[in-house]
Amino acid sequence: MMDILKFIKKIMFLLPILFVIIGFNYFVDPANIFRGEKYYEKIVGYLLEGKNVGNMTNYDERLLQREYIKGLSERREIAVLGSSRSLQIASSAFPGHSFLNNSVSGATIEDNMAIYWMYRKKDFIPSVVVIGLDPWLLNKYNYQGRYRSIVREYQEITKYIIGQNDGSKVSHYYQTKYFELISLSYFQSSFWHLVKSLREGKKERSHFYPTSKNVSIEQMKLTDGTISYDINYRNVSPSEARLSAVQYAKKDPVYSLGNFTRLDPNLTEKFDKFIDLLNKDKVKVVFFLPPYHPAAYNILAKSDKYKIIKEAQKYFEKYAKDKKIKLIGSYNPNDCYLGELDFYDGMHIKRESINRLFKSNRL
Amino acid sequence: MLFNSWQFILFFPLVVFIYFTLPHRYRWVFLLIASYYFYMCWKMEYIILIMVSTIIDYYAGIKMGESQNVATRRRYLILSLISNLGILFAFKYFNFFNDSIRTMFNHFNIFYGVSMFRVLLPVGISFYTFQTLSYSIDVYRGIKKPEKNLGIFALYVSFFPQLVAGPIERSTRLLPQFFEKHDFNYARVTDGLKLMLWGFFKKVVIADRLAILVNTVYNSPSNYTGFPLILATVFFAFQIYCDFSGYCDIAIGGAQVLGFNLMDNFNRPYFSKSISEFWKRWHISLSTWFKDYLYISLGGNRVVKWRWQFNLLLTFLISGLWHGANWTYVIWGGLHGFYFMFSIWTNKIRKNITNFIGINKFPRFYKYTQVLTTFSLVCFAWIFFRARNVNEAFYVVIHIFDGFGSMLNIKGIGSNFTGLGFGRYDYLVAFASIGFMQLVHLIQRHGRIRHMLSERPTWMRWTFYYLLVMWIVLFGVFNKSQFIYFQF
Repeated sequence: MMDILKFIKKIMFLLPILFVIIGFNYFVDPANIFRGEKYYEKIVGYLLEGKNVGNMTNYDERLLQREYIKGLSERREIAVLGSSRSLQIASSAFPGHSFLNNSVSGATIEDNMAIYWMYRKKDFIPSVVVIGLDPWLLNKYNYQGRYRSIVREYQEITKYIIGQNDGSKVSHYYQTKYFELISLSYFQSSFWHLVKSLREGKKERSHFYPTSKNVSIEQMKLTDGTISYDINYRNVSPSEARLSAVQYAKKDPVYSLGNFTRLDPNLTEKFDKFIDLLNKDKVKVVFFLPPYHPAAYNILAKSDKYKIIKEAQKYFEKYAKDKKIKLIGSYNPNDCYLGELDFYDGMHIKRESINRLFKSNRL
Repeated sequence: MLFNSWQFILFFPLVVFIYFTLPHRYRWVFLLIASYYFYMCWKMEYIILIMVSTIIDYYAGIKMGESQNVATRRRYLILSLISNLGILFAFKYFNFFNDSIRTMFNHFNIFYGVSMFRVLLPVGISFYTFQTLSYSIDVYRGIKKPEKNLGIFALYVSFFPQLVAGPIERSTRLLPQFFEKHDFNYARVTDGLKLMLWGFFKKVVIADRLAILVNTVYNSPSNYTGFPLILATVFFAFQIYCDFSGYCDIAIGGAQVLGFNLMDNFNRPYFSKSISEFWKRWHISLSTWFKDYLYISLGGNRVVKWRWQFNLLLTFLISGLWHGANWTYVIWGGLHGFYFMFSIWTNKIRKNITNFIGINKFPRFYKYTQVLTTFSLVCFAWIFFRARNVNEAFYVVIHIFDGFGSMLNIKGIGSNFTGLGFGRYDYLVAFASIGFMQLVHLIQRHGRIRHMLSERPTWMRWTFYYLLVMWIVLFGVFNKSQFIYFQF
């Protein structure tokens, strides 16, 4: 018994470490997880005033979409739903139309459905919805759970189109959120974020700001919903892009494509019901298959593990044909006449190239 | 369940708390449930494989114990061997041999219709299979009396700290410990926790960080020549050591907290002066297993010279195959076997050369030379262990010294380190952490550092613990990566 008491007493000495971790994660909060909706209202406020926002790196893209759509004062004619691979589709590709790109990193069907529901709830249904179709949309094991930030909207739309909740819970979001308090990787981000801020001596460096510029050395959020990447990423050389493409495609598992052995029937059903809802809402749907870097595509298409992306493309193409939906792009860059110069890395097509693709394909 | 996961951080203290709260007679039941739960967190259905192995070996052990007839005892040993190795073959090696046969048939344009066995490799199957096999062989040899309590035997097979990646414990050592009553002992518990902390340091700070560079290079080796290949290979040597010995430290430390003593699996292997010494210091529980149950069974060195060398080579080839169903592992094992034999063949010549040069007159320098040579040979063999296939391994071997001249150019040195998935910060953390670990290893020549620490004043000990915890927290890679040896 004495030993147990002695042990408990000694183990208490380690408790301050836990408090330091929680304290850093809550108060430094580099990804703005604990700052609430007010934080996003301010960013959206600038965007709605027509100003771009600089130094936008760490934020919950989904919560930003919620605030942005909530703040809209008029309907957008064209909206884009998709992942970061569709995030460069800009308003300049659709002159004369009101436009908003609602893409979020690692988007899944759940994200697309939830964001569309935000428009629907506000009764601002766009006339045209471009959907970026990444292969992992149909992978049960894509391990993308970020839609939990907007799980409320997701629950509402599933209840509406399927008639029941599919098991997702609002509490999952809160679990994920508050788990970050004791997350060691988040502590590292918080710590180094604070060190950087102190070293640079300016709080503003780590904070967003409104600007009329379209490009900057940092990443920016533009009023049309797109992202202007930071200077290093934007100006990547073709050889660097090629190297990162090869590394991306040879990583095991490839981003969100792990264990992708079949097109998941539940996801295809969900996808079908979602498209049916869009049709019922008289939305013109356009599919976009974001191309891969040639080097990455060659590796993926030849790999036994990942060649299923070709099957996913065939599924989307057949679906588009059957439902008479316009389809732009292909995972294979050769089909779109794209080369190594058109990519930032293995899976992200450059802004100019993607918009060239859309300009040459009238909606 | 991974040791480096939040589930384990919650699971382990809970198990310790309940274990010491329960009366002694119920503790083994609780540990068995906890061990099965631990395994089922990975894949529930595969617990059946462990149960089948347990029941067969328990039955075979009892029957061998009941009979004095050698033929009958042998029959039950064969039952145990066939069932255990059969399960291992079906789940781990069937596809490998099937693929190899298909390739051979295709080469001769002959149709081969046996399809693949689409099944996930059960985590730790090689470890618990070898552990149960050692029990059956020991009972057959009369070294161990059969265990009558099925539950205790099941716990011996599935004891969670060492279930999925060893150390491969002998029944003579571990089984009796399940009958002993373990009280909560402050010194033992804190000692175990310190060892676990050291294991976490090796795993999340060193192994998982080095993995970033190693994976970048070895996932597409054809993009690299020269220095990056050398760096990735040396880093892999430290990665695999820290990954596996880190796991073992957590396992041994965890068991120690509960009152159990598991065998040491590593003893500063990269300070070995020869390959034979390396194998006395690396994965000790497996090398002694192969020595006791395979090498000696084949006749060991008490046979004619050619047969002795054949026994050596065969043991290493099988040891390579034990690690994985791929020709790369077989070559890795074969290389070590070859090193062994080569050292036997050249023993006299090397001694003569050493005397002629006079290097042995500078014992420290001579020792460093030996350590460096052994480390280089081990690293060379790691190329085959890490490469994804034989072609890529040979690519690395052929191109590892390409552009060596330009590498020495001062202006170009920096460029050798870029584009490998590592930034300046990663290099700094990696080199500082490896340096710290090796320093600790050097100090350990004079005894266990944990014991040395316990003799220091409180403030000094706690400063060290705090620094180590903060080092892990600040510089660890927390991506829930698996331990490399889980796949074996």
